[in-house]
Amino acid sequence: MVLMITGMAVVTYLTRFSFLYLFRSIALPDAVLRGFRLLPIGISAAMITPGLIIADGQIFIHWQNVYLIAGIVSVMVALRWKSMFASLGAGLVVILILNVVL
Amino acid sequence: MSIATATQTHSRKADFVSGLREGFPLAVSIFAYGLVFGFLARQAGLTYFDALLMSGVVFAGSSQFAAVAMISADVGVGQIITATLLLNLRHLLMGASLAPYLQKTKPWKLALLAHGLNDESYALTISRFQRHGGSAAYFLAVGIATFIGWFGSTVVSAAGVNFLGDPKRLGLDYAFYGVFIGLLVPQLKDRPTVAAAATGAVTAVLAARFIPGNLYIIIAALIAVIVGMVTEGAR
Repeated sequence: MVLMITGMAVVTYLTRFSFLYLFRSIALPDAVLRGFRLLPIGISAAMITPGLIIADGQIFIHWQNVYLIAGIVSVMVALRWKSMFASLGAGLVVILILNVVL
Repeated sequence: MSIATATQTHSRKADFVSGLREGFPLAVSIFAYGLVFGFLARQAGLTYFDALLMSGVVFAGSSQFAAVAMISADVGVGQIITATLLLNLRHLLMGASLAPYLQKTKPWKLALLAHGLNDESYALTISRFQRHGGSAAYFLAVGIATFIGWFGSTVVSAAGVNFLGDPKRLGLDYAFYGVFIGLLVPQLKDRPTVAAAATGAVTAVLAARFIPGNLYIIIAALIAVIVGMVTEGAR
């Protein structure tokens, strides 16, 4: 078990450290740098939406999807106030309310 | 000590503190999510020590859940390590995009910071770097906050008791989404950024159902970048 965990730790650490180290000294073409500006946006969008829209392996766009409703509220709050804490708080309140109501 | 050094020390400290403050909601979310992990790990036959070791040295939620499920299913060690690698390949993209901001950081410090790189710490850190420039102290603080959340929850939950029941009941697992939305939305300022976000979102939803593990994140993110850059060129 310890051997397996060590193996997992080594491969995981390599994914974390390798590019973080290597891409410091590589002079990157302008196009790649422009791509990097968009990368966090792509990663974040890709990490957020499936969790809000897919439930039990199915696309679930419905008012009873509590996560989706909370997500929409968070987006609206973020658009208006541009605050991470406000966006988080509004979504959490929506979840708590809907969990009681539904 | 020169004035310049003093100012720098102060700002490092300030960066560290704001990293802890902004990392706190994420730490809470990770803690709640991690409470399930320790419980599942013990059920799969890991000892308390094994579970703590895994959360300490692997420190990667999705691949730890996958490993525990595979251990329960008697899958071989080689396959588990391969799955771990695949699930964590997205760190490569994150590392590559953070790297240009950390050119002055010494390699040994970078080696330490690397362990704190995860989905949550990345989202906070890159957003900060893009607004205020690179700061190893900020990245360190966020990494520490997320580590405490994850490791702390294993300390509690691997004791074998499912304290919280289902964390979804309290909506705490929503914190991940709330924070990410709060970070993402203000970045959507022009056509390329909006196009990239929309593409990443739609592609991920479509791909998540067909692509095993979380490789869909990498694929969707790369397609999002390409589409965003195309709209940039078309302007």
